[in-house]
Amino acid sequence: MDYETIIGLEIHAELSTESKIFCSCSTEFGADVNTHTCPVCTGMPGVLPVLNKKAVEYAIMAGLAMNCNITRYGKQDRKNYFYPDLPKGYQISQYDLPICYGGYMEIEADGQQKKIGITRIHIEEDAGKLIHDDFLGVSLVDYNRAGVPLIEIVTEPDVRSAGEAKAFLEKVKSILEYTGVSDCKMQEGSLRCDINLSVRPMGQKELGTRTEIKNINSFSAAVRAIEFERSRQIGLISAGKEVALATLRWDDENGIGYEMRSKEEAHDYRYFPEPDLAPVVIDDGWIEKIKNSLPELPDARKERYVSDFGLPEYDAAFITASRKLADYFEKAVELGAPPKIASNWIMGDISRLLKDRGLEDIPFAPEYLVKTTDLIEKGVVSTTAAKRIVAELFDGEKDPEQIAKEAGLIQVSDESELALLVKQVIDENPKAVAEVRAGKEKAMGFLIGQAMRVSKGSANPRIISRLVRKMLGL
Amino acid sequence: MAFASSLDQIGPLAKTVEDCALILKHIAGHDEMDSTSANAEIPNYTAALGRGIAGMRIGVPKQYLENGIQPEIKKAVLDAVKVYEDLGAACEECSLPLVEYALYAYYLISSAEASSNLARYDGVKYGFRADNFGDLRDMYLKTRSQGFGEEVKRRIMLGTFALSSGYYDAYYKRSRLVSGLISDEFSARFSKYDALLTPTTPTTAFRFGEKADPISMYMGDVCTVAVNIAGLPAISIPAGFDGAGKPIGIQLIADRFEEEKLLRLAYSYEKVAGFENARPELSDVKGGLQWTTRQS
Ligand SMILES: [Zn+2]
Repeated sequence: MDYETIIGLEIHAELSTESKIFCSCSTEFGADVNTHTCPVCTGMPGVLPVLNKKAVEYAIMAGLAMNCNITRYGKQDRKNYFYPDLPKGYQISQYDLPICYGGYMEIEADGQQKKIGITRIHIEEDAGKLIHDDFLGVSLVDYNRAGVPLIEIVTEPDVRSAGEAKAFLEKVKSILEYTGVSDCKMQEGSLRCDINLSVRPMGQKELGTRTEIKNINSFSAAVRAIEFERSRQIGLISAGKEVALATLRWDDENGIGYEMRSKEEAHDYRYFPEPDLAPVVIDDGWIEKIKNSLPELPDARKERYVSDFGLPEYDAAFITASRKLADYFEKAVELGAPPKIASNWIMGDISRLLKDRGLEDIPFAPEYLVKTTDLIEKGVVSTTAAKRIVAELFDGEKDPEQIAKEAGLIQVSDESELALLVKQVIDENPKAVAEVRAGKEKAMGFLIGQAMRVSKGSANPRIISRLVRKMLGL
Repeated sequence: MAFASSLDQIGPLAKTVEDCALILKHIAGHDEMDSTSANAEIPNYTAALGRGIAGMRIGVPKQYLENGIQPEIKKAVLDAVKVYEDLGAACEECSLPLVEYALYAYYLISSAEASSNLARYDGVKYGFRADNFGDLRDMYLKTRSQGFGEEVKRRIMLGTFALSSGYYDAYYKRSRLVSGLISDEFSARFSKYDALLTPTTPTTAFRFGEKADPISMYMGDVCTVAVNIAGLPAISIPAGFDGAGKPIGIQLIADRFEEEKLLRLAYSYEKVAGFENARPELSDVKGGLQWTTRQS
């Protein structure tokens, strides 16, 4: 029997505000434990939260970029539960009046365009972090992250496959980066996702029992978790068993989801309106102002790259998926790099090196890439040599020509110097010369190769080729 | 420390109306650390005190003078009506039929909010933590069972129940709706009256430990909770003593941001009644201490 997979996603993104959502503590990542804390974010008795306006602005921005309606009257609610990383014993979130609702995003997956509905986007505060010390046998808490603003994006159950989920997550990441709403650093936990999944026999109307999978820390983990859970549920149903309503914790290392809570243990969060905060009132003027400040979004940029720069669709999609790459590309083109050449470098060597080194940002300015491609253009270095230059630029910004000189990568284009070299090769290889005269192109290649070898790769192969033909009177 | 955030409100406790106005002038207004504080202009409360009350209209809601009110307290309210009429104010009986529900709404909302506000006393970060516990859950259970007193535990349980799924609509949400209706009812009265005059408490002070059952304790708040529920300003002023020499208070309630009217009304009454300097005297009687009145 064929089964249909029904998936809904909940994405948490940390907002790029300077300060926390209800106090003025810094949101900087990686500080010493409990140094970015104050009485408000550690839930001391007698303190009150004050909402960070920028957090609301970012939520509105995300909502507008994802085609949502923006509420004119929002409120915040308490989600009550006990856990040591939650200093107040409740999280301030939004229950029934979120900032944004009723949106959608277009994705392209498995060669098809598709709309994924967005139920809502709300703001909430992050919790602290537990650090388990097995040596001392204790658990410690770092509250630096407590009170960092988040948005939670909840989708309709419109996603049907791991591929669609991945495409959607990538699109969300790219939009949040473009708008500057979140820096989306997965390894710092600033983008996380939960998956709700159920299966049903193809054609069946009613939904199957769903499970929720938590602790998804990368897009590839989302794909693996979806595939795991889909097969697990199909396996149960095929064996005549029932899928139980549960929350699973994804263990990506072992590729297994473990049950965290069953239905019986499900939390009752006792939501109620946060009485310490006034309602969030949003007027048309504010929304309009935010709308006007929205940058060009990935889809629009992609179209422009195709129409204005003549980039192939694939290149344009690849580069615009990341605002950082797209900004870099555009700057390089502005500085004179031919668009297709710039996109080849960014999609090829640069992307590979970023991945190898685990970097998010290209560590050298676009000027250096443009100077490198100029060197190829002018015949100063070969494309192979340029690859070495780019690799060295990853170790630090340095003039590409200087790198080429120091590494002996400059092509010798001085004809009188090269003529001597070619003459030597012709004299030393009478057999190959004879074959060339007899019309064997392969032997021509051999001679050029010999000349390159003698020059230790520094000769300009085009000039060598011309000189060989000239000397042999061809 | 927060008890019921949406109802908690600080206010001055002073010996005279003038002192009260002086303090209020300094504590009123917007606090940038409290987003629920109104960003409204602060009147010069003390300057308004002597302006008199001729022509002001006072409503006396009959529900506050009905069953359960100690007769001496009812008399104090009616005496105050005479004082105000002599000063040129117009007084008349009015009705607030929904006000009897205020107490129930108040105890549900305040217990619900308290159950959440007191969650932070969990033994993790500060305050009391029980000795000898097993896992995390056990630490929570022992710490909170040992750390809180009976009345606090009762309210946490009541509030947790009122917020639970399946009961939220029937208790918490309904209490909020009732609050809105009570607030509307008060607003309607304020289109006609500058202030409402009521007792502050249904009885004078009872002896420590005299009331064991929590409901009768909660009933002691019956005259003051509607003000919290409706989000209104009120002032309680000394209005004499009962037969046992225990002090009686009367309460004036005004519309939002009308503290100035309250202070003027209270000041005018105080100048005539003169109870601000009355002190009861402690004397030994059979069965314990008894208050007696001494005019100083
Ligand atoms: Zn803080």
